[in-house]
Amino acid sequence: MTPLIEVDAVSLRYAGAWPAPKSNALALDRVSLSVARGEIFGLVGESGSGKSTLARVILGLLQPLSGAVRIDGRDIASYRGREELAFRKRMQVVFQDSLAALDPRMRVQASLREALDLHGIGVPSRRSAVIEDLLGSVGLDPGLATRFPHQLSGGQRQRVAIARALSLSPDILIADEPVSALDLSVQAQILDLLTGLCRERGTTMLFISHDLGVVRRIARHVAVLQRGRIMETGPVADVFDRPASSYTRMLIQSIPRVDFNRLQAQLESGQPGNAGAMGTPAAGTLDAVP
Amino acid sequence: MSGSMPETLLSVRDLTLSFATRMGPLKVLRGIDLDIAANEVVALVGESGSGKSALGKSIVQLLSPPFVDGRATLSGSIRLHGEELITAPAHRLRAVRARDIAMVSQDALSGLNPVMRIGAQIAEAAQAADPALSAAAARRDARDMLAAVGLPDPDKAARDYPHQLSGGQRQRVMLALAAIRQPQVLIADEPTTALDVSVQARVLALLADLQRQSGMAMLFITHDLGVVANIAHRVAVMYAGQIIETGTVAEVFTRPRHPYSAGLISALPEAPAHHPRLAGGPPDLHNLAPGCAFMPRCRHAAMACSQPPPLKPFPGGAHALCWSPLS
Repeated sequence: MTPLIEVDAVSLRYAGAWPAPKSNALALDRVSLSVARGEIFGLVGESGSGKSTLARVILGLLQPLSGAVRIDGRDIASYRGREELAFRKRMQVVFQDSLAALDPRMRVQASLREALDLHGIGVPSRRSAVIEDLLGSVGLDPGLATRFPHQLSGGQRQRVAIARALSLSPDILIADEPVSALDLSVQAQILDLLTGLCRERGTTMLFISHDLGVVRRIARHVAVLQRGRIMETGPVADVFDRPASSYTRMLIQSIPRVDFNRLQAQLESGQPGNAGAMGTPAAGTLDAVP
Repeated sequence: MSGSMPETLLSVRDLTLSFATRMGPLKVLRGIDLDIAANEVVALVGESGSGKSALGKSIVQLLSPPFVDGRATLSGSIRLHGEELITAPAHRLRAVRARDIAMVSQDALSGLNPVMRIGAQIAEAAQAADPALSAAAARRDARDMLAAVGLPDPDKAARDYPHQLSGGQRQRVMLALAAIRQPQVLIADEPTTALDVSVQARVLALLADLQRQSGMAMLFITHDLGVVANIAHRVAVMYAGQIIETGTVAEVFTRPRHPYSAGLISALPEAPAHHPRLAGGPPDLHNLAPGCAFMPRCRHAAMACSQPPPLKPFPGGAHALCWSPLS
C-alpha cells in the first residue's frame, strides 16, 4: 500500500534576507519520511531543527530545492488551478498561536463560515447549522459563535482553529505545536480532542512538537529532526525506549521527568524534605553537546 | 507551613494583592502563607493566571506602586530575616532588591539592557550590591561570573550586547547577573521555559550548582512538574490566588491531597496512579464563588465546599486547603 504522505529526499535552503548574508546551511537536508493513512505521526526536534519548514513544504507553501512531496502517490507540485484548490481542501493545518491564526475582526461563526463558503461545502442556507455542529464536535458552546477571538480563552481559540480545519473534512491534518501555548490541564483536553476526532474521522495527523512527552502519548510513528536532518525514525516505542542515535538519547535524557519510584522510596525511608536530585540527570553527558 | 524547618529566611504571611479594574477589584493573591529556609528550594507551581508570578514579583514588590501605577494594593507581611518589607521605606527596598533578593525571569531579553554591554551590566549589579567594590574589581568579578555560568568565551561575552547571544546564553547571563550579588534569596520565574530541552537541562544543572554552593534560598516558579521533581525540596501548588497544597516534593507527588494537585500530577505521562483528568479551565478571578475556587471543576465537591475551605495538616508536614482531601 502506498503511504498517504511521502516525503522524498526534500532539501530546502532559505535565501537569507538583508542584512543577514545568504546562509549556506540547508534548512532541510534530504529529508525522507512516509506516513500511512489514518495514523498519527509525530515530528520532534528543537527550535531551528526544521520542523515547521517541513510542514510548510508538505502543505505546498514552500517549494523544495530538490526532492518531492507525494500525497497518495502524486507529486503535489503537479497540481494547478481548480485541481489545486480541491487538493488544498484535503490538507488542513492548526498552528500554535491561535490568536494569530484567527482573524481578530471576524466572529467565530464568520471564520468558520469562510472556509465552507470558499470550498462550497453544503448549501449556503444550511451552513449555520453545520457551524453549530462543528462547534459542538470540538466541545464548544454554540453560544460562542458570535464571539471575537480575543473574547475566548487560549484553549477555546485552539478549539475554534481545530473546528475550522476539520470543517473541510481533510484527509490530512498538520498540527504545528498545537498545544505548546496551553496550560497542562488544557493541553491534555486539546490532545484528547485532536486524537479523538482524527480517530473518529480516519484523519491522518502530522503532529509537530518539541515536547517528546506529548508525542509519545499520541503518535504511533515518530521522526526526530536535528538541523534539517532526520536523525531517527520509527515506531514511538522503539525510538523513545531504544533510541539508536545519540542525539535522540540526549533529547530524551534532557526531559525533566518525575521519578515516582525514587520519590516513593524517599518517602518510605523518611528522608525529610529533600528531592535529592539537585542537578538534572545526566548533566555530565550533556556538556558534550554543542 | 514550615513544619520543623530550620531558620526561616523569608516568611510570607496572609499576603493579598489586588488590582483595581473597571470590573471591580481583581484579587490576584488571596492570603498567601509561605516560608522558605536558607538552603531550601521551594517550587511554586500552577497554571497561568493562578498567581505564581504575581507572588514572585510581590515578594520584591515589583507589582505595587511605583511599578504599577497606584492601582495595585499589597497587604499582609513579607519578612526577610524578620525585617518587614511591606512597610519598608523605598531606599531599604532598593537595597534589598540590589543585594538580598534577586530575580530571574523567563524572558531574558527584556531583563537585560539592550544598549549596554553584558560585562558592564553585570559589573553594575555587583557594584549595586556592594558599593565599596571598585570598578576594576567589579569588571573582573563580572568576567569570572560569566565563566562560572559556563559561557564558552567569557571575555567576548562581556563585550557583547544581549542580542548577540543565543537564548540559552542570555539566560546564563541572567543567572550571572543574579548570582554576582550573592543574594540570600533567588526568585526564579520560569527561567527555563523558553529554552529547548537540552539547553534547559544544562541551565537547570547550573542553577542547582549555584544554589548548592551559595546556600541561597530559592523560590522556583514553574508549570513544569518534571522540573519541580528535579530541583525542589518542597512544592507549593497555587490555584486562583491561593496556595492549595504544600509539602515535600516526595509527599505531594506520591500522595497528593488536594484534588487539583492530584489531577495535575496524574496528567503526567509517567504518573503511576491515574486520577481523573482535569476538566474545564482556570476560574475567572472576577467571579469567584465564596467557597472553594476549585469546586466547579472538582469531582469530590460536596455541600461544604461552598464555604471557604480549611487548611488541613497531614503527617509529614503537608497541608491542603480542602474540605475533603484525598487520603
